Amino acid sequence: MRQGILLWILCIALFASCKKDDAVVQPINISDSSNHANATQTLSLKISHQCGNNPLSLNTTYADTTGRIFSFSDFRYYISNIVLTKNDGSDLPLRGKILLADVQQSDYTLGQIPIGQYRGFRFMIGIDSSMNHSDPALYPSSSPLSYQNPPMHWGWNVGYIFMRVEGSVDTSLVPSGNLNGVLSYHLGTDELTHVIDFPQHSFSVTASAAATIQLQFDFQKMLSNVDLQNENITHSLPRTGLEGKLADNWLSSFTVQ
Amino acid sequence: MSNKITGVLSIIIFVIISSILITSCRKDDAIDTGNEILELQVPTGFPYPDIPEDNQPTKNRIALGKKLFFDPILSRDSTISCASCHHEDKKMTDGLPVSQGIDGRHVLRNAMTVLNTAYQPNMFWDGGSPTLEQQVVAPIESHEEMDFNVLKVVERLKNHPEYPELFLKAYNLEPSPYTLTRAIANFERTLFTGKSKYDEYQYDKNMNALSESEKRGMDLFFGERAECFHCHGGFNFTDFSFKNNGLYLVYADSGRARITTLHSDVGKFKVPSLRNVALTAPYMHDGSMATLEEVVEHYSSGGKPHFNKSFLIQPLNLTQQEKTDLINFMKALTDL
Repeated sequence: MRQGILLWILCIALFASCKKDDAVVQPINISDSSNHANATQTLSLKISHQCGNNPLSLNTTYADTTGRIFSFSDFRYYISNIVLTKNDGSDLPLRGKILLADVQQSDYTLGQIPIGQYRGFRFMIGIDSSMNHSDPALYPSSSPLSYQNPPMHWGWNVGYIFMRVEGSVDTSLVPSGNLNGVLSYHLGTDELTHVIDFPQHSFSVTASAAATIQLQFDFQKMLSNVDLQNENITHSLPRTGLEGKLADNWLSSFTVQ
Repeated sequence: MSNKITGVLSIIIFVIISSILITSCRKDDAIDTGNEILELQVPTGFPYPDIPEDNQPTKNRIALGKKLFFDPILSRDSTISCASCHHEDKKMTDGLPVSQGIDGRHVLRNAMTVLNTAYQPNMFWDGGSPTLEQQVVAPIESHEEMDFNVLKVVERLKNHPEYPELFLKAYNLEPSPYTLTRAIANFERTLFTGKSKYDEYQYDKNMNALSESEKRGMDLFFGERAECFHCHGGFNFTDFSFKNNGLYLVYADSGRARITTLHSDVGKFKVPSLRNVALTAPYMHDGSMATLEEVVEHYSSGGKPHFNKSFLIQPLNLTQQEKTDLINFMKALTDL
């Protein structure tokens, strides 16, 4: 009888050995957690997207300072390298935190951060060179760095589109009130990353309630010195100067409330 | 007694079951060979190409990549496949000055061959894409080519009656941008060319493989007068560099400069391989030259004095016989 049981065990062992030895290919994972000290609180970012005094939304008509009208069908951009400055002057980088901001969304969770006093913060519009040159296919679909629809990555060129603005604009010589032209800003490439710094914005993070940093982005300010009639399209490459002008205007487009 | 019977019975059952299992194991092994890492059959005299660790060639991966390469499922209206611009009978080019994509739209440049692409250090005429894998997304999302989105392709593949199983077999993963780009690149890396009359002469040491005219053309090609080999040298007849060959005084397409933004790269394009060049007309990044005669005439004249023109492009003043010999040699680079 014992002999019989042994043979059955052998059978099972043989069956187990049949299991296929598959070469499993796994895409790499980006850590999205920001664990710090023990006593932490949720920190959020609230961005109010504006066009002058009006809230910015898709498929709504706006006018620039010359009265030329335009509207948006897509408006997204990357925020990365978020760093909080503690009251003692030391930096607290929110490592691995990358946001794909969308004008249709105002609230973003930055993660759990230590309770205490902070005296400033900064972030980058765009993505660090090393990550900017990585393969989007290697990120899980939940990552903002994975392939998007519409694309936030240039297939014909290495790198992400840091800010994508799509829409229509009146390109008539004399403003006619018709959205007869294309508005398309694809801003990217390593040189166009900009750090938006608020060194003097103090805030406290307490145990009692979730903390929020309130930002405002004004597209009207991003259009400063931009002639919408002629400067309505850029793919950042080849350089025309428009891409640099728009990206430089990010510095004044963001304000903290 | 009954114990003995049970024992004998057990042995019989064991033998039966184990033979069934061994048979089924064999079946599994047959599937497994599809996932064995293969050694690519590279032409004589060629180095073994660098292949990413996570995308080594297997039978299942190559088969999947090949199916995708020929499948118009990749384009918005399912009319354009990779093979639409990379024809097998034209050595993976399309015979057009610039390629035609969806709705008859014109692509910016001439279709480059996919043969020997395993050796390309970067992709496209301007080197804009760093790897064969990442390159796959460019034609899918280009408005002039397939005008689609890689995530939408993946959705189609996930809902397809055959693809999910083929992806699982090849990568043990479902269709995704990752597996889609790996599979097509995996297939493309198996496409080699390197068995021409020239190779018979050079590598197989068959001294009669080339005619007298072809040999004279070869001497010109590799000599210091015509010095074609400085750019079109090596086993793939290219040094993979970017050069301005004096095609224009003013370039409508800035070439490499579009990627690097450097003034010193304006009008520079990837030096193409000359293998099968007789079958890959028209020539240049914009397909502006229809014949090899025109091409040789251009280089013999020394081209236009563009500020980035390679110093290697100088007037050669070739005789008619020399031009004929040079063309005959280039024709000897066609695969047998």
